[in-house]
Amino acid sequence: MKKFIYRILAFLLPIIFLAYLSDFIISKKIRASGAGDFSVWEDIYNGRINSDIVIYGSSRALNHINPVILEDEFHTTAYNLGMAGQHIWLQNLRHIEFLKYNKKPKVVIYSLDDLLFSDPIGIYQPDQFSPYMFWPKHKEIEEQLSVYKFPHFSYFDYKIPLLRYVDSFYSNKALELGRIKFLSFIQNISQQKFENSDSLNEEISRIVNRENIIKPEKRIKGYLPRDLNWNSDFDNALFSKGHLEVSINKKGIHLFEKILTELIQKNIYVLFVYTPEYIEGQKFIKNRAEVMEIYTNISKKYNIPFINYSNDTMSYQKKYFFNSLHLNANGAEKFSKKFALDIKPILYRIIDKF
Amino acid sequence: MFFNSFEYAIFLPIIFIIYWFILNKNLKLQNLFLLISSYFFYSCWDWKFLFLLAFSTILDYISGLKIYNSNTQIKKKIWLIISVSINLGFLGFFKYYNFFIESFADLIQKLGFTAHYSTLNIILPVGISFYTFHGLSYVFDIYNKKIKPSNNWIEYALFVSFFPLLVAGPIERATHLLPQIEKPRKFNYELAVSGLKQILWGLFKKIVIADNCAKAVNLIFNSYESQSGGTLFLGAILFSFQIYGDFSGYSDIALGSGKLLGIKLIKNFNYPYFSRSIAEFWRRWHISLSSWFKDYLYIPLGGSKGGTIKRIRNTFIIFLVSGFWHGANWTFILWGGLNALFILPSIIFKTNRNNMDIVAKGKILPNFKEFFQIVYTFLLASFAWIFFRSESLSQAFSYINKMFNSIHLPDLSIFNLSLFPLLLLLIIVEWKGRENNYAIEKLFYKSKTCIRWSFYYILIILMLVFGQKNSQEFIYFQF
Repeated sequence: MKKFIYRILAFLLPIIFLAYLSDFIISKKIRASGAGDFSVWEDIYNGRINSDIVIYGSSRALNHINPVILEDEFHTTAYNLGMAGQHIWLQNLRHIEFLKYNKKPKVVIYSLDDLLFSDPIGIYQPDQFSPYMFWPKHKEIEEQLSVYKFPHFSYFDYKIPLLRYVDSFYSNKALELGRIKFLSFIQNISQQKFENSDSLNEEISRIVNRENIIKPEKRIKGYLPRDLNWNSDFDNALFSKGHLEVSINKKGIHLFEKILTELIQKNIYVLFVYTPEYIEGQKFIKNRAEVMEIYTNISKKYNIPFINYSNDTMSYQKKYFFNSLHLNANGAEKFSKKFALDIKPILYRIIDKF
Repeated sequence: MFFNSFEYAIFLPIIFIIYWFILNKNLKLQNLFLLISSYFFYSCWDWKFLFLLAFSTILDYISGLKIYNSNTQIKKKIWLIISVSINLGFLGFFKYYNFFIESFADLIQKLGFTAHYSTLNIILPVGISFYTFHGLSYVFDIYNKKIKPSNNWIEYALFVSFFPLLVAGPIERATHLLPQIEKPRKFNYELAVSGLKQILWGLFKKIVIADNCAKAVNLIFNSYESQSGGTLFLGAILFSFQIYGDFSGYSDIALGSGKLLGIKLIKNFNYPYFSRSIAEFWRRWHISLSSWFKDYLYIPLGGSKGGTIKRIRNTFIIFLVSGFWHGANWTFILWGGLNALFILPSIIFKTNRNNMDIVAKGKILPNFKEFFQIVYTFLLASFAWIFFRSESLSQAFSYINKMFNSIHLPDLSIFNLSLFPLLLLLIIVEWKGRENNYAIEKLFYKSKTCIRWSFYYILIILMLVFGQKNSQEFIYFQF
């Protein structure tokens, strides 16, 4: 029996050691890739966001407000903490981690949207959290993700190295890259030796040349311009659903107010903005008025200025959007400049350098 | 609690430690502990059906005693009938009620009448097909005077509910398992190591082979109308690998778990895809079920005695019942019937007892004839699996029709091309180990430890790289 136990330990110990080592290296490499949200999380966790103006929100913050334009206008520093596909639940995570590791800003511009208080069902792009679950353990991630009905990560993902990378975005991409390299190698060999196997070569070329590796997004102080034309997402949604009724989770509203209270208590000036939304998309949301009423009431309750661009001329021009909710790069640039000018009278008292 | 889950990876070592380190000197406590653990294991699936498991266990325990102690044949028969009726009654109700209602209603409607019926929202208790057959084999063996009934209800209950085989077999026999439960077990180093290796190989087959094949198979079967014949053909082949990896992988983990506790369970798979005929295939696939039907249905019906017609009749009955056992769907019945049809020539020409040896024993490769036989048998089995996998008969027939009428090369873009080298690895390792109880039992046996362990490490790395986050459920859990 002792021999059995010793043999098991001798077998497992190298695996356990290698697992931790591999996890450390993989996590470090992924974080250092600077791709997409990692550049922002790295800035957060390394305390590099020492900005006077910070933008909170979802992808409607991420894609709509260029912080460099704000910096130019107010001669100060700005950063965009917008999160694609995330509602109040994970915006809260970003808020907590940002304040924990960075100098508090003077102003938070909260970009609002129809889906802010949606029920916490599934997480968009959960793999962005993987490199931060172990080295070091950011316990807030586990706590905030647990709110979701489908938190994606299990208890064991936080305790066992490498497990969270199994069948993840990273492992699939690594396999894809490996496969492409192998197929390229085969293609080179087959072109040399098998000149008549055109169909096979065509198939290999198709796979090799397929645009299947996501190119790292280039963020500008967190901001992500989307240089895209209008797509058919909205038209398809309209055709299939007719309208959408967004969920309004009461706990989400309380959480939102909790964030606001914390910001106010820290003497951080808060400003609400509802960035342009394509008019047909506004009509698509059945209970939009209810959501806007919540924002209006909260802004009054906490005495927070609320700038609403729902009826702005931009909202009526499809050329500035790539779908009903999101401005394209051109629209975002135009909006950012307009927005900067509009908030100047409000912010001039707050920002010293103006 | 799946066998390939971390919960099981924690559960099994805890059981192992308590079993061997704390309770090893007391057989009664060891058995009681295993019984409680088994019930706990089952309750992780659905604690509400523990009552059914317990009831079935008590019923067969009492029936066994009554059959043995009855002084007349009539009384013995009555108790046997009681046990069989109630067990099969529960099985029939939970598994087949809706099927019978719907099939009867379909028949009435085809005859031109209107059928008003309602089906029930019945949840199938996990493992009912397996533990019911455990209990039935016990009462049959007592009735046929093969064994004496157990006087220890804990030992009997453990025989029925031993956790490695509780939810998906193998279907054990009282003659094989009960004596092991009744006798003290001593820790055997070689057996325990073998158990761990078998678990490792089972996990590889499940996680790497079965789950990855399942991805492609599900995609193909769910969109078969828009796929080419070549793709559908590959889909059928991949399902053959999926079901083998899934079920034999599960069995390997079950057998390995048993070995860790000093208990040897029945071998359930014996490299079926290296069979040279369908008859041989059915001697090597789901051995515990086919031998159960042979002993308790085929032989009582007359078996091979009474002429060819009778043999054919009995064979068809076995395969149709076996198909029906798998599920409440005409596709399973047709699958069983198809296999009976495939085996028919060997019954007529009395060649079904050929190929009793291991193919190409002692040789590196099969000869041309054997290779052809293996491929042909594999293709036949894969063809029949189409019915097994399909949701309905119409889907199965459409699938087959499309496969043969739309002759185009497979669309490789929908396949994970990494799968094919993995399948090749499986075939090579299984071929190399075909003379052993499981493929890696004696692989690198004579090599140094570092070489053996390197291979095991490679298997573990492959599981990490190719593992699925949301693992496919073991196919045979639905039975």
